[in-house]
Formats: sequence, structure tokens, C-alpha cells
Amino acid sequence: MAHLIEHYRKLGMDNFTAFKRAILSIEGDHAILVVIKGDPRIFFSKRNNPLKIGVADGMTLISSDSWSMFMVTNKIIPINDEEFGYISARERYIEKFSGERVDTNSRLYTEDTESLVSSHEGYESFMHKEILESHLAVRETLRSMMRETEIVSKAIKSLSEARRIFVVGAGTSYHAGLMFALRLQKAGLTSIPVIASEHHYFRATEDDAVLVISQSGETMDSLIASKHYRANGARILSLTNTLGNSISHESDIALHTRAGPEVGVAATKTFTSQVAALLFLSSNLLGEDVEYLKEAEQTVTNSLQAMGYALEIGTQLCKKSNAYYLGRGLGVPMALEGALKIKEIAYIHAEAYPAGESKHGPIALVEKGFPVVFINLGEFVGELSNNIKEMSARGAETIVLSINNRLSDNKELKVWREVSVSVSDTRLAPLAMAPLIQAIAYYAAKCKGVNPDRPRNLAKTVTVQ
Amino acid sequence: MKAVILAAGRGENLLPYTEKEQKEAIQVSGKAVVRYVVEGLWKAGIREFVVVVNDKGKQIEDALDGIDASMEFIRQVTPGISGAIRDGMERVDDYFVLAFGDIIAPDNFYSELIGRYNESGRPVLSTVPVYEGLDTYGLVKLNERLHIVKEGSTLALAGAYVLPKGEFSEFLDYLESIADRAAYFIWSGPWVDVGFPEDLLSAIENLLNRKDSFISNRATISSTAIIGKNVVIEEGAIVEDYAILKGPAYIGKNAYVGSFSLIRDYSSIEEGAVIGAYCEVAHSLIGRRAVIGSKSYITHSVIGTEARIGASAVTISYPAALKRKGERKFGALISPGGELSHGSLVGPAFRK
Repeated sequence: MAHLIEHYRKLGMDNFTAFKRAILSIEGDHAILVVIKGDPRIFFSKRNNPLKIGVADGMTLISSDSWSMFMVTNKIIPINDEEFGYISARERYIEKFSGERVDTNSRLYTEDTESLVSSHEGYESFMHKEILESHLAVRETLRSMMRETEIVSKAIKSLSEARRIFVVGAGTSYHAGLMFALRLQKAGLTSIPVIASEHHYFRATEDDAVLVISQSGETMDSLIASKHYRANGARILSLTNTLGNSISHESDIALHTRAGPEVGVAATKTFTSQVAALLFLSSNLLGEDVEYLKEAEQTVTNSLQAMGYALEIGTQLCKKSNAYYLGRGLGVPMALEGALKIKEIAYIHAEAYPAGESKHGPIALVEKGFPVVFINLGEFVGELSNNIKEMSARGAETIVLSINNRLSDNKELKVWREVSVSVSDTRLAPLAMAPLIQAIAYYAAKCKGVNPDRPRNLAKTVTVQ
Repeated sequence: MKAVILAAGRGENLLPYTEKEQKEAIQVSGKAVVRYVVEGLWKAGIREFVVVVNDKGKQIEDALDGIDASMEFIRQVTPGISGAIRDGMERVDDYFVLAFGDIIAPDNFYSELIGRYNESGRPVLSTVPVYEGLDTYGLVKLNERLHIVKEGSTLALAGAYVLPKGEFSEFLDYLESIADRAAYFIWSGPWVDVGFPEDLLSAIENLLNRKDSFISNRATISSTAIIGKNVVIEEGAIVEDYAILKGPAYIGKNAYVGSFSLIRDYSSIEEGAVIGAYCEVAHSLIGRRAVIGSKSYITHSVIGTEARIGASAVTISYPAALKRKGERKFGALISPGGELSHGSLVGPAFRK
């Protein structure tokens, strides 16, 4: 960006013209501020990212939210998408990308102190906001995967040459990794999912590759695991959501999801982005056409459309103290993630099992009204239906989250409630499932009256062993 | 930016109650329904209001009395919802807020709406998740662009929008025509669309869940009364000996609760209402200046403004066949000024 502006200045343009030219020649969403040495102005540009001007006596402020300017002023001039301009202490100038000048005075308004303080930048909660941003997070992640061909192909080459692929993660990242490992294993590759804190019992060699997954890139368990495997002589790859973190620093090849910052403690859009990135990597590794991922964003959006069902199911689960999440195949990692979410956010004790395992013990706890959530990604439907029947026969309240089909049409199964999301390719199923299980946990928490952004005893980034 | 508030509906699902009182003027926990809308928008920075009313417009004017903003009340001339919107739109210049006057939601709902507009500079549609069986005005489908549909989504239009002035005959068609350049947000907080009698009871739950306990020091409360958690008692209220207020409950200004009466679980006793001795009131809205005779049992009921319930009246609430999913209980809906004689036994879902 800096070089681009410099380039246009060398062509003889003044600072603002050079800045505008630079903005118009780049692609993508942004909120950018630029200062140029010797110029008292701050230049800005915005597209699909928040940016606002604050006006005070003899002072102008600019920030992504009015909340941060609140100590100084509540007089705000909003900047719309596709607008740029500059501010100085007394001057505020806004222009549309099309060149039309904006009358800033007519935009000036006063934000109400009370409602601002009580809101999360105008949102109900960060977790809610972040679930609803999942489709954008997925879009940006896949765009960058497709754009950064050099590093991505290096990663794919490294993984395809490996004898075995270890996939390391903790919590939600482990579940994303498990899904990735299962996809590779089904195709005959040797891929070993490793819970980061349990890495000691999985020994790698120089022929192996290790993919470490962490949202923050600072997860202590994952960092230690990656050092352990580096000492084993394995090649280390990482997938993180922040730039310049310790784990990517420790790895030979650093890949990134582009979910944007996540404030809520529970991982939501970052999980969905990890799933998208890992689908992209695994498909490349397995020689599949990645054309189907073009529908990834729409798949997540379809899932957001089913929010009403999530509300109903979450409100029902809120009345319970226990639940099972069951699935088969790739439904297992999703069941694990669903159970984790409702535990950490809504404090409902939930356990996940491969559905077939449920009859080897867990079913003993099932009695009338016990909720069992089935993840139906469209594989092994016959077997899954039998599991539903077993649970219903014992009086369980069976909830089915389905992709592209409806099991409840079979009245014998006595399904309490089913949500079905349509996807254009069954490989996209985990992307449709992720926002749904998150929203169910979110609504269960809301119904219980607990704050989903700040679950007790948990921290966003776990930097202890 | 001006806001157009719709408060001219016929309130068909609340008949015969709404023959006498405009739906948006019904008082719930100390404020008329429409006042929650206008105050929410006021807090989001809106200072000019155009309120579309019908022949009961005076009730709406009274309900909005004392708000520090420019208020213009106009009588609806073009029929239907679309007509009311068109009538209101004549008074605005370009972009305006359109809000249905029968929605009860927290102030943040409106600040999110205005915030989204300020951020995008585009029209904004509010949506709310609903599930099957909930009767709604229109649904929003998210594809490459937004679409307004009748089915195929669980996101319903939530009754507050920022829109450009335009021409149309059907409002939903108009929304569809601007949907391709509109921004949207999904509201997941408390939200009640007041259409059916049971909605008024959901509204009380919603409102009282958000209120902290408050007891005015100008209320008169017997030292033998028992006050539980989440109880609001406004000034001038009188709570007599041995009365029990088991929250969440709301006791309005100058309301009276007689000896040994039990007011419990999301009951709202509005301004000047009188509850005789030995009554039990649960999950009910007792309107302004309504009178409940001694030894009555009022449950899951809406008792209108200045209605008179005789002594020993009993409401039965279960099982009631209701439109709103999930609700199975409703006792009686008594119109403003209506009466129930001594010893009446009514319900479930009785209306008078």
C-alpha cells in the first residue's frame, strides 16, 4: 500500500490523489488509515468494514467504533462503504469512490450514551455477531487460500510427500483437525489426529508432516507439541487465524484462516473457517476438483437462514441438564464440537459419541425426555436411523440436524424436531452444520440467562499447560 | 432522519378488546406498547416522528405524551398496511425509519438498526429468527442477494426498517425491489410482535426479565407483606397486610393490592388497578384502573382498562387452543370497561 501511494506520488500526484488512486487500484474489503510524513491529515478509506469519524472541539477522531471515542465525544459522522477522504483537527472531507463529494455536516449525529454503553458495538453479543459473520469469514479464508498459490502449493507438496500426517489441535481446533484427518484416512492416507496435550504418545519421524491448528497461534499445548515434533525431525505446518503468532513462527510453512478477530471466548466463525481451509487442503491433497467450494459461502448462509430452528432447539435444550450428541463418519467431529459448544456456553453437560458406540454403554442413561442430538451429514443414513429408533424407543427427545434429507419423514423414528439444510455438494456438509450447532448453544445460553461471551473458567487463548 | 410509526391497525386478533382500545395503546408494565418503540428509536438518536393513527388516535397521542421530540400524528386515509406506510411516507423526504408500533423489543434493537444504516448507508431490514407455526408477515431469504419470501427461511421481518422514500402499491413488493441493495441484521434478543392476547403475556415476561427490583419510596407497603425477587413497585402503590408479591411482578402507580392476595410469576398490575383481598393473580395483565373482586383467581389472562371482575371469579387457562406455538394456556381476555359477574367461572380462551 505504502509503495503504491509512493508510486503515484512519483508520477506527480498530490498526497490525496495518490491515496485515492492507490485505493481504486486495490481489491477487497478494508478500513484503511494512512498518514504521510509532513502532511497533517489522516487519509481513510472504507469498504465493508466499520469506520467512523468523531467530532469534538478543535479535534477530529477516527475509529472503527463510536464506543472507543466515547470518552471524548458522542458526535459521530458515519462513513459509508466505498468512500474515502481525510481528516485533520478541524477538517473532515468525505468523497465517494465515484468522485461525488459528501456533505459531512448533514451526516453528523449524536449517539445516545446509555444505549452505546450497554451494547456490544450495537450487537446483542459478540458470539452472536461472530456466528452471523461466518459466511464472510469463510469467503475471505477461501479467497486467500486460492490467492496465495505459492505457499499453499508448498504446503500441499509437503503433506503429499509425507509418510504420515499428524494433525494437532486443542478443543475446537482439534475437532476441525479430526475432520481433516478422517477425510484423509478414508482415502487411504495415513493421518493421525492428536490432542495437543497428549502428543507424548505419538512419535513422529523425519518422513512425517505435522499440521498444527490453533485459532490464536499461542495455545501453549499446541506450541509445545509442535516443538516436540520438530525435535522428532518432522516438517511442521501451521494453520492459525492471527499474523505473527508463536506457532506460525515455529513452523516451516504457516497457513492462515482469514476469519478476522474473534472476541467471544467460544470459537465460532474461526472454527467454520478452519473447516473451510481444511476442506480446501484435503481436496487438493486428494486430487479433487475444488470447484465445489465456490458454494461454500452460500452453504453457510443457508445455515444462517435456519436460525429459527436453532432458537427453538436451543430453548428446548436449555431446560435440560444433560444431552448426547451422536453422529457417524464426519458427523463425529461435528458432534464433538456441538457438545463442546453447549457445555462451554450454556453449561449443559453434553457428551458426544460415534452413534454406533451409543449402544455400548451411554444408552443406559437414556430415559423419558433425555435429549439426543443427531448429526446427519447424509452418510450411513440407515445405521443412523436405527440409532434414532433405539433412542426414541427409550423415550429420548431426538433432535436431528440433517443435510439435504429429512429423516423425520419416517414416522417410525419419532423424531422430536429436525432441521434440514440444503447443500449443493455433500462435501460442504460440515460448513452447513457448524453455524447451526453454534447457534443452538448460543440460544440455550440466552435462554438460561448466561453471558455467552464470557463463559466461566474459560479464556480465549489458553497459554498454560 | 424521520421515523414513521404505524399505530393504525385494526388489531383483529385481539377483538373484541381492540374495539375499545387501540392495540398499540395497551399498557404493559407501565408503558403503552407503542411507547417502547418510540423511546427505543429516541435513544438511537431519532428526534422526529410521524405517527400514523386511526379514529382512536387520541389514545396513541396520550400514550406518547411527554416525549421530547417532534411528533406529528396523521390519520390513515389509504387502507391496509401498505396504505398506512404510504400515508406516512408522504411526510418524509428521503431515507426514513419505518417502525411497526406493536413490537416490544429492547432499545438495542433500534440502535442496531440505526447503527447498521450509519455503517452501510444502505436500506436496512431487521430480521428475527422464528420457527414453524409462527404466523409472520414476511420472511427474508439470504441468497446472492436478499429476497422477501413466504416460505423457505426461518428469518422473519422484524418490524423496523430504514428505507428510501419510494412508490409502491404493496409494501412487501417494495421491500423485495430494494432488497438487492439492502443491508440486514438478525436480532436474537427479546422480541414480541403483539398480535394475539397471549403475546401481551409474553411481552410481560420479556419486560420483567429485563427489569431489576425497584421499590419506590413513595409506595405504601405493609410491614407484613412479603416481597420476593424481581418486583417493581411504583410510586403511590399500596400493598396491604400479608399480601405476597412473588416476582417477577410489576405493581404500577397508585395500584392497590389487598390483604392476603398473592401476585406472582410475570403479572403486571397497571396504574390505578385494584386487587381485592384473598386474590391470586398469575401470568396476567391487569389493565389501568381495572378492579378484581375479592377471592378471585386470575391466571394467564388480560383484564382490560377499567374492567370490573366480580368477587370469587375464577379463570381456567388450560388447555387452550392458541395460534402461537408453544403456548397452551390462556384464561380470559376482558375488554376495557367489560364486566364479569360475581362467582363467574370462565375459560380457557374466553373472550368478552
